[in-house]
Amino acid sequence: MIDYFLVIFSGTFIGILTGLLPGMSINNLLPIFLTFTFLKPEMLAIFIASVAISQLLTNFFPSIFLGAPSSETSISVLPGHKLLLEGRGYEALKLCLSGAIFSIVFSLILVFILSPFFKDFYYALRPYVFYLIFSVSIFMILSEKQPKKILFSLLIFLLAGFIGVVTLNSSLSSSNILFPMLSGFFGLSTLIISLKEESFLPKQKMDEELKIKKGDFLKSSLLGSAFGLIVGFLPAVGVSQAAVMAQTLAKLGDPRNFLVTIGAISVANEIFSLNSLYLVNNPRSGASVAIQRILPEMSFQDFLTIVASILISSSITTIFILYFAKKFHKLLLKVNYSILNIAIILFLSFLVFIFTDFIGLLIFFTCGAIGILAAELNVRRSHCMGCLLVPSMIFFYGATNDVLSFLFG
Amino acid sequence: MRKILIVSSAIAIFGICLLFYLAKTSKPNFVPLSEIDSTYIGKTISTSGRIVYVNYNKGNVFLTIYDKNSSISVPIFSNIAKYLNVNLKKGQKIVVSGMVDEYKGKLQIIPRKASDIKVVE
Repeated sequence: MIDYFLVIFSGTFIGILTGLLPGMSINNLLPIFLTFTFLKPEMLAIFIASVAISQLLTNFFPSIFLGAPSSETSISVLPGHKLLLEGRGYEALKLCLSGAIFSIVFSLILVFILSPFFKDFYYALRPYVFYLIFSVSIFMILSEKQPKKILFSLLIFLLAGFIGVVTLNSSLSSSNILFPMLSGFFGLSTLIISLKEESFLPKQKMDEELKIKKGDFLKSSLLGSAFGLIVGFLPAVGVSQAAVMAQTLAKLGDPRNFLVTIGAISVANEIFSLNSLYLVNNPRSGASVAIQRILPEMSFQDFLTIVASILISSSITTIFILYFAKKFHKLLLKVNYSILNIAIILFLSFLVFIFTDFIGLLIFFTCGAIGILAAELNVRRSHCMGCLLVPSMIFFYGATNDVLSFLFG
Repeated sequence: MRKILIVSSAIAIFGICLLFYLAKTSKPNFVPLSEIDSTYIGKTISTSGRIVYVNYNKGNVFLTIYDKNSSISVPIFSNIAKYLNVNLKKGQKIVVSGMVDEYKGKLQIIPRKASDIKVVE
C-alpha cells in the first residue's frame, strides 16, 4: 500500500513542478516515463495519471496569476485575469480547483450511469456534433447583440478559424502547435493589453470565501463534468472548445461560474478518456495513450485504482497550489507589474521557440495580434476559439478533404 | 484610428498571409519507413512503402505498407477515402504524407486529404 502512495506522491510532485512551466505538456514527458520499467505496469500507470492530473491543475496557477497559459488552460486566462485585477486571483484559482475536485465525483457518477450506453451514445451523438458546434458558434457571435460588434466578432472568429485550418492541417502542424496558438490568442494579448493600459496588480484578497452561490457552483461543476464527457470521447473536440460550448449554451456570463466549469471539464476529460480506454480500448488523451501501452487490457479494478490515484493527486495538488499562491502573491506585489509582464512575454516567447521553433513564434505573434484586435474592436476574445471550432466543424461536416484540396491543392 | 488597432491589424494580416504561404509551399520531410519511430509521433512527414494489406471497411480503407523489414499502418477514413481516384491494391508502391500517431501501441500515419496518397508503382 505504501508503495502506491509513494508513486502517487512522486507523480504529483513532478506534475506540480512541470505544471508551473507553461507549454510543458505531459506528452513531452511520456517518452521518458515509458522507460521506467523498474515500476510494475499498474504502478507506472498510476504514476502517469498522477503526473497528468497534477500538471493539469497546476497549469491554472501561471494561467491566472501570470497570464501565461498552457493549451489546456488557455481559456481560463480571460476570466482569471479579470478577477486577478479585481484582487480576487486566489479566489479564481480556488474556483478552478474546486470545480475540478467536485467533477471527479460527478464524473464517476456519470461514468457508472452512462457506461452501459457509452457506445450507443457515441454513435447517436456523432452525426449531430457539427450542428452542435455550428449552433454554438452562431450563438456566440450573435450574443454580441449590436450589428457592428456581431460583424467584428465574425471577422475575429473567421480569422482565427483560418489560422486553425492552415496550421492544424498542413505540414506546419506538430503535437505542440496548440501551445503558441492559444497562448497567443489568450496569453500574449492579455499581457500586452495589461502593459498598454498600465494595469497594476492590486493587493490580493486571500480569504477563503468563494463569491458564488452553492447552486451555481454545483450546476457549473456538473455542467463541466458533462462537457468533459463530450471531450473525453469525441475526436476533434478539446477542453477549450467544450468550455466555450458550455459557456454559450448555459449562458455562463459570470467569470466565477465559467472558471468552475473549466476546472471541471479538464479533470472530467481525463476520467472519461480513461473510461474510453477501459470500455472501447480507445484512448483519447496523451496520458491514456501511454497507459494503454502499459496496460493493454485494462480491467475495471485498474480503472478504479487509477481514478482513486487521480483523486488523491488532485487533492494534494489543490492544497499545495493554494498554499503556494498565498505565498507567491506577496512576491508578486513587490515586483513592478509592467516589468513582470514583459518578462513573462519574453519567457513565453522563449518556450514557444523551444517547443515549436520559428513557425511557433510566427503563430504566437499573429494570434497575439488577433487577440489584441478583438479587444480593440471591443468584442470578446473568446471568439478566437474559432481557431479550434472551425476545423472541428469542417471535420464533422466531412469537408476536410474539399477544404484542404481547395487551400493547398 | 488608434495606433494599436492599426499595428495589430497589420501584424495579423501579415502573419496570416505568411502562414498560408508557408503552409502551401512547405512539403513534409521524407522519412524512410524503417526510420519512423515513436519520436515522430505528432509530426507531419511523408514516407513510402509497398502495400501488403488492404481492408475496405464501411467506407474506410485500412492499409499496411512495408519497406526494408519495417511496416506502418495507414488508416484512410471514409471522409477522405471517398475522394481516392485509385483502387488501392496489394503490391502497389505508394508515397503517403500525414501526421504520425499511435493506435493500440502501433504507429500509424494518417493522411489529411486524398492527394496525400500517391501510387508510384
